[in-house]
Amino acid sequence: MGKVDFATGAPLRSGTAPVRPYIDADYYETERERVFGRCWLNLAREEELAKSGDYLVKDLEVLKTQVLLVRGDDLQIRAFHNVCLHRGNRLARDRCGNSRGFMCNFHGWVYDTKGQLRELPDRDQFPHLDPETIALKSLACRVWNGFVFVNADPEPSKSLVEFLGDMNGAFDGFPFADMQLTAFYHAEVNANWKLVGDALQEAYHAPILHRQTVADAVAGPDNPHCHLASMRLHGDHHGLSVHGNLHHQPTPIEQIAFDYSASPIYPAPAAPSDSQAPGVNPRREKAWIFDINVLFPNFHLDPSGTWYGTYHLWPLAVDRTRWEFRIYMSPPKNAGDMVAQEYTKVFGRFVQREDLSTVEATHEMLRSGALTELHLSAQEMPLLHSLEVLEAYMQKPS
Amino acid sequence: MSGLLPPAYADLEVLAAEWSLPTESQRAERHLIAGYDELKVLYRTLLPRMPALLDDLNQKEFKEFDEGERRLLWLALSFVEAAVAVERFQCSDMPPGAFEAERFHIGEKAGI
Repeated sequence: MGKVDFATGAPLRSGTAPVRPYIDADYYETERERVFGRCWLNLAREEELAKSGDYLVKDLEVLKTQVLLVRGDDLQIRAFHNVCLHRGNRLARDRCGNSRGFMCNFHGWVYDTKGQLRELPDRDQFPHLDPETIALKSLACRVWNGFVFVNADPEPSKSLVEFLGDMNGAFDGFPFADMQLTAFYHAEVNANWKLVGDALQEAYHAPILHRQTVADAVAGPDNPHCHLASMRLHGDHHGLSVHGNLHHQPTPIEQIAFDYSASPIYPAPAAPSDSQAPGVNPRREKAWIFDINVLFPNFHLDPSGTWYGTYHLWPLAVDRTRWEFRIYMSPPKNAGDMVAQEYTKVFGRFVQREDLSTVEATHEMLRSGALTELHLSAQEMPLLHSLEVLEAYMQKPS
Repeated sequence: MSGLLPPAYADLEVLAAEWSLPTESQRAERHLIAGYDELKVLYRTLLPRMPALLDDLNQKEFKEFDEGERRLLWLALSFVEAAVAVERFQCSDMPPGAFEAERFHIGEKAGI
């Protein structure tokens, strides 16, 4: 147990974490600029923008903006601040749709899907403007394994490939495109975004917090503290493989779900294969349930053998976070498979509500100032790593 | 109330009238207003029927389902809601202290 894949050669370590980054409003303001203003952020899957003209509007409160993602006639996906250049009105008003362009509802300025201004009513009255040369304010936008990332810096210091570093090839061959969005859950949580993310990137809590749900599937007599099967550091990011209990005793509904599912579903052990993506359970541990990959700062990509989940932790304020969880699976093959997938979803909802049950109380108590540091075990090393990466960004001035 | 389900499942019509709901959010909302006794009835009635029920429905592609078969599937999906509550928590939702269901939002997706 507790074996570690050391991409960095760093030793497995425990340590203390400062409390201030979780509760300090000034720290949060700097975080907005130096972390969220500089990092690549995942906003969508490319399947959500399947055809030219498909668009999505995404709130990015942490940067005090709204992003318009649109697939152009050239099939490229672009990202713009959703604001008309004329007087600053919000441009696209629907949350999603398909359009050949966008007309501002204030004075009728029209932009195409590449962001170029196409119609300027009463153009003669703007002698100072050359409509050919102006376009919507863009964000850098790149697609990786079907995930659409944006960077608020139009000329990021690192390309998305450079930013992802060793994560790049980890998912080669994973059948993302064969899976569909099966469930989407979201909640506004009164806690700092890192507290919410921290609760989702260690398994030490499973035997206690999840004692009525997933504890037996991930811990068990051979691993009572739910030590990770393996752990990897990849630059700013990291990956963990969560142990699965091969002797888990399913409940009656769980047995039905396992019997009728077309492929292993949560919380069944995931049966690793040599052909799966190299970075997914790279040790090919048999006692394995799924991986947790934290793509700094706020995107978790959690694949198993035949499904994957994602978390997004969107800061709304120093003490408020929009939590989003999505599950992707192959389309159900029949009614039994659909019922099995429903079990994963419903059971997962309850597990998530357990995960979210501590973070608000934790934030309240940290805000008291009674503690200045937290004590993290070697199994909670991912939290330390995220905090160290965060601090490195925070130390780089604008 | 009669005629909602395939004839072999006519004895489940009373449950289907309450629980044959096409979307996950509708089923979860129905779960929230159900008492524990109601969930136990749904769970205990459906549990022994599930294997045969799923074997029956598995004979057809979704697109070939008639209205009664669709309703039977939706009832089976509601059974899942009840089963997790009964098997894991022995109460109608979750013990006090869990993140509140009312604040936990289910994104709408089309059912079949």
